[in-house]
Amino acid sequence: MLTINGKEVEFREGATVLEVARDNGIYIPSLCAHKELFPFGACRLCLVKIEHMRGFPPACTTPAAEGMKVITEDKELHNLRKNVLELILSEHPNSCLMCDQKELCAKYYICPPKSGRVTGCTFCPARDRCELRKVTEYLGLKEIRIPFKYKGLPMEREDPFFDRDYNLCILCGRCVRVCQEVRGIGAIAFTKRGHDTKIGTAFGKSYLDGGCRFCGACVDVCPTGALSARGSKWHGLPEREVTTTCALCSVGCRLKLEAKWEKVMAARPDEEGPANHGQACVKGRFCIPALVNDAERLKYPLIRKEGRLVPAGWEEAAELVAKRLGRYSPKEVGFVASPFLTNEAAYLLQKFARVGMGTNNIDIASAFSGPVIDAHVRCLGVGAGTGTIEDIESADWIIILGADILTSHPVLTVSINKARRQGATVCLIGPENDIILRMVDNLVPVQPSGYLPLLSGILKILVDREAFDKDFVASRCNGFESLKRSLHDMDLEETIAPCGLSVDRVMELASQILKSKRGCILYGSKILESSNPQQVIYLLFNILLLRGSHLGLIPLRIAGNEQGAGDMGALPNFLPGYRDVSDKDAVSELEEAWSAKLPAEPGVSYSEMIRAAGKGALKALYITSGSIPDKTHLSQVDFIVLHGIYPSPLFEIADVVFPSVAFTEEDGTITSLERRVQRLAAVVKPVGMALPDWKIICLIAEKMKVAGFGFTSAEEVFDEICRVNPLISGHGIWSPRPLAKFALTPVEELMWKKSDVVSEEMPLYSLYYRGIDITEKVHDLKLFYERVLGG
Amino acid sequence: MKKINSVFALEELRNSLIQAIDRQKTVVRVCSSTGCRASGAMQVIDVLGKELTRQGLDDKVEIKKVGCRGFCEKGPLMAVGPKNIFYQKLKPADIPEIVSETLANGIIIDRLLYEDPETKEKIRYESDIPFFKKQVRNVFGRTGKINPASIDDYIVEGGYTALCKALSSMTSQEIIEMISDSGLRGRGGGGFPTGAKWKFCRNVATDTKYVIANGDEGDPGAFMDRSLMEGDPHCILEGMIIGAYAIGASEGYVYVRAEYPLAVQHLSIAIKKAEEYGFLGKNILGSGFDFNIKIKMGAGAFVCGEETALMASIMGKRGMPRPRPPFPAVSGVWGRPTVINNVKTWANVSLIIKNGVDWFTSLGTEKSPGTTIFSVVGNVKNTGLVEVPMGTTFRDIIYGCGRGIQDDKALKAVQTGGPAGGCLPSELIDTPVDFDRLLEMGAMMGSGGMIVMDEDTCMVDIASYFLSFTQAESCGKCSPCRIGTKVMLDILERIKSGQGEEEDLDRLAELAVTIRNASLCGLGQTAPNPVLTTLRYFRDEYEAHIRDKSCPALVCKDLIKYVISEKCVGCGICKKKCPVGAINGKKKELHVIDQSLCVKCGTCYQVCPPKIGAVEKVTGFRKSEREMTNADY
Repeated sequence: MLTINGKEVEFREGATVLEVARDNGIYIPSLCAHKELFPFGACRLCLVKIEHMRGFPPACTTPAAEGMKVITEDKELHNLRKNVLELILSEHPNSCLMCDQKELCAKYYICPPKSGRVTGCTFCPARDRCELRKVTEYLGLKEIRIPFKYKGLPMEREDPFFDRDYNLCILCGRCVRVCQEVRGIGAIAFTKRGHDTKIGTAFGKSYLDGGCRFCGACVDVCPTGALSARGSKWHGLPEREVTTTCALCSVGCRLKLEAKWEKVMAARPDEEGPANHGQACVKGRFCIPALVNDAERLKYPLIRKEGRLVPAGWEEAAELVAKRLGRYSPKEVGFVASPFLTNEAAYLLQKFARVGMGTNNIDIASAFSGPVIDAHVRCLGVGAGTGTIEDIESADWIIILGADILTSHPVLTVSINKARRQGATVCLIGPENDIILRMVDNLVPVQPSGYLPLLSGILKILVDREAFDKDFVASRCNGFESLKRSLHDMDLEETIAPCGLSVDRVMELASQILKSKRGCILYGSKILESSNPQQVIYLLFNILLLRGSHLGLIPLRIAGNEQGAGDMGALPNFLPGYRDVSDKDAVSELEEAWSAKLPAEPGVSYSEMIRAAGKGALKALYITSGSIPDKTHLSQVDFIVLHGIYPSPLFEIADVVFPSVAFTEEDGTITSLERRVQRLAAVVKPVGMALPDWKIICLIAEKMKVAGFGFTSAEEVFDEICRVNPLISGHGIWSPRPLAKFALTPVEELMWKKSDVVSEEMPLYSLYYRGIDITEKVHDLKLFYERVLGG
Repeated sequence: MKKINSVFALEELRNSLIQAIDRQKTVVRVCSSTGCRASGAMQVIDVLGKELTRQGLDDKVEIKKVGCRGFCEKGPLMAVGPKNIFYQKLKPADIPEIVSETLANGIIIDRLLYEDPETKEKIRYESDIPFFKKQVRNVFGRTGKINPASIDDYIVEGGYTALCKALSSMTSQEIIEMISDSGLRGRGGGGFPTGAKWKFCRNVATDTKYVIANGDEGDPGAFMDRSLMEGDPHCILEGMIIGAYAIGASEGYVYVRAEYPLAVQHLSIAIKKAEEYGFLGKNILGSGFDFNIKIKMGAGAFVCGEETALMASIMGKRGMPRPRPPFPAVSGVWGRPTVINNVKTWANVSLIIKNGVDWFTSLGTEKSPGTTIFSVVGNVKNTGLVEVPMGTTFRDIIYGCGRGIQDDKALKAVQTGGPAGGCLPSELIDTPVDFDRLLEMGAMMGSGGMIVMDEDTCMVDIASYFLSFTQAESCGKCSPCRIGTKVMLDILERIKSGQGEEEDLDRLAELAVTIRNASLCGLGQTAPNPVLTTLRYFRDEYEAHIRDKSCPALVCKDLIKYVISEKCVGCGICKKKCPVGAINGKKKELHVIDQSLCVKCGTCYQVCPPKIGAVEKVTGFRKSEREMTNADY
């Protein structure tokens, strides 16, 4: 209990006076404080009076204490704050803050998008969101008595995505702190001293060279117009703001998309987002508008007439597809599910394949499907990881294996950084990147070919030293004895030799894992380059199981809904919920639910489909992924249907092209890498005549007179999913029902011979969305990736 | 070297060291501190060594390179033999004579002695020189006497006995009580009671604590911390070890500027030696107490003297202060409880433990016991470091030790406390100086800078000088300090250039209050002090600048001009020396300065022969319209 302005209020331990005041609806002006950041105490506007404390302590840094008596407002404080603000505004163009007419003018201001430099009232990108303005209005400052001094610093526009005009900077330090404290990057800092102090990079390098990842966190926390997103700085306030989930990667960031004039104007991270907590990455923060507003977007269905794709109506196109598909036998048709489809679309696509076409020939166009999913199902019963982002944050040790996580899943590094701040040890095995080293304690430079030897070595150390959770292994695991036997004759030095590390180094790594139970392993696409990726996963499971923490494996899926598409059963060997196609109970359950007969024979995988197409065994292909990497095999295919949002190389051979929608135009759900089912909400209307994928499938099913596709909204589809898919019961993280006994895999099985379970044709999607290269649409992203990826 | 593991072992060592001293040898102490090195002490020592060999006195004379005596102005300095015959301003050429006369035959060389500026009397012995006579050298008791690179010298002088006493016969509680009872206040300038600080820190229960010695001396003109670190590093270490023991710290840092290479060197040697002797490291003196000290070099930012900025710097971050609470005693370096004290405070600790509370409180005033060190500089005859009891008056320091104002001009003001201190007028010269009295008068103790200013000093100029320093050294973090000091400086510059307005004084006062009340750290909070005190004591000077556009002290360039009076004999020197050719006149006729060309460099004023003295500085004119046009548009 403490007293603010005579009112007794409760407070939680560790809160600052400012936080307590805000929690109780008492406004104290402040500029440098931010709820995600450590207290800083620089702007000196939140000065208050506290009994028994000397002078005017800042509310933002003073910890609340029992019995404290705080005064937040009186004449003296008001004057003091006003004087401080006057000083701040003597260096910040302030006509926009001081002008009597500012409300009126806001209605009629002209758009000066060509001007880089902010000089006066109408030329500030932050005019509608300016925190300085709020403070000025609160303090009622009407006149600046100090001569105004324009700093005359050059505009900094050389780097991609955002402009920096330090003439507007008030040096609150939020950008520096968010970069360091939250993102763990530290690309920028205060430079120089005294009146010349300025935010900048080391040695005045460009941001590209200074390690910036262009996550935009600095832009989001800037209280002024000093930092502004170049693409949206002049758009003013949006007409509406819709919170949706970013589908560009699998992290599942919640974003607030801003719409104006029926276009997506900007994206800002949602502070309530369970996966991202107000953070975003370069793609989500800056690339969405350019990606979805591109003029080349497909607007109407196309059908091939006289060798050329020509516009057609939905009816005509759908009828054509229905007619042609009806000609083929189940074995002759294949379905390629895009890993960017919503759960609803993926569900309907596999339902259509199985019910409408009577085939299990459906697979996700992703390197992570097939053997990787199979390995997970074998170990866990489901084709998913077991860890969540919260598990990363609370882990004591984290291993990142074979992933350039800073490029593929940048927002996860926020959680890794958080864990590290709380004392976790972070170990990176695999590709290095000088920036990620800023948040890594232990770098183990091992090539993918060395993963198996390395992990086997670690396993041997764990078992030999008996450093495993004996109770867990005895009660929950099968096959420990055979694992132990398989390790018994193994020579540690000989085993690990191929990975190029010394025994001591591996010991050191193992001892990190030994240190504590709460571990987390994130593995990425580089394991696909190892000799046998499936077995890498078995070994990772072995390690986690031996440590008694089966909850902590996170596959770093790339595309937005790779997880969901698998959960929905868009796989040749699994029905929705990873139930095997040969599982009699599951088949009969589904047959009853769908009132249809299901094919008994397992389907062929994506790579097999492509091979079969090359041989002419596959007559029709239904591709929803916009494009596939190698179209040369497809010339033998009789009939190709394509869903896409952009023209793609497949246009040369596609017979029908359906214009689909981008995730910003669609309602539905997608599932993130932590198995979190989240809403997509349509921000704007679809472009032209485009329709969501699930609607297109329904339309064709309708034309083919297949029952069970009479849906009118995505909600209805989701309801059916919840009924038939035992994993999904609604939004939020679905939990894999743990197996009664987990399987430990003996190492004999793992002799590292090159397996051919993974096809080299498998696409990786880190830069792609629905078959198109994002960097082609967003020039700045290209600039950034070229620099980052050593272009 | 066997580690000293008990009080007796130390006593034994000390006795054997004393026994080993060759009393037949004449000891020549040559100051080899930075100040004397700058005036050539190392060459003097070099020549002295060679000369002794040449004249065969090697085994009769011992050269001791000692620390600073504080009288750097007269360096290089030498004190010969037991009675300390005091030679000053030595040159290598003087050495053969010193060896052959003084060292060989005991003849004192008159011309190398110090001459009192008042009595013109040559003074033979160090202790008779007024500069030293008026001082009470406790903290500086050993500097200038011992070789700072020799731990044995320190032990012979009773070094590390305080540590022995503390570790063998006192509990940490007793040590803190003793420091509290002594009333020792932080010598870094704040004057916070040291005992109370230690108590806070001791009461925090954690596994790791730190102690830090703040040697980041940055005040212009102050060099006592450097002299202490260079001249007697062990007394700082000893104090730190005692303090660490008292609060339960296991690690310590000495933060010292990289610009003080000699201090770094001597401290490094001292730490190494102390480790060798077992005063640092594991199980110190067999007490079971472990403690280590590291040196951290600062890169020379004034603000890093502020404790939280200093700790940020130690942790490898940008030296920017952070608000307190949490205080360092609760959460300091690496987030652990930390006691940070000035190097002089640490030096006092060992003295108090060794000599007792009564000894300490017998000096100084009731609220500020002990001695304090001033760096007396400016327009005073004898400049240098002066250690006097707290409560000594300005008069005793300036006229006693300092021997008055140069050229016997009148005293105008004394500035204490470094750039953030205050300017006090000559009327206050009989005020006893201690922490509280200085604060009352609007100044502060600071780290002990004392700048004496004569009648030719313009107080507006002085205020703007100090403000320009703090302004440039602001870390840039908090807005009142970063922007406010700059705005104040701009106003002062305007006043100095004759464009001040009547309202400027109120503006300055208001800004000063805002900056003082709203700034984050001590640097900002005290930055307006020079302006506030000059406004308080010398308001008339500001008014003269603003109303009459005149600079009474004839300093502000824009408000003065040089004219040639009737006394001119037409010698033509000024005309010849004028860098811009602004002086016209025929030989043997009155010369005239063309004001439109004059750049006010003052060359003519300097070159005009004193017996003629025809060039004069005048002020108090209003700028003519034409000049305004040229200069201001």
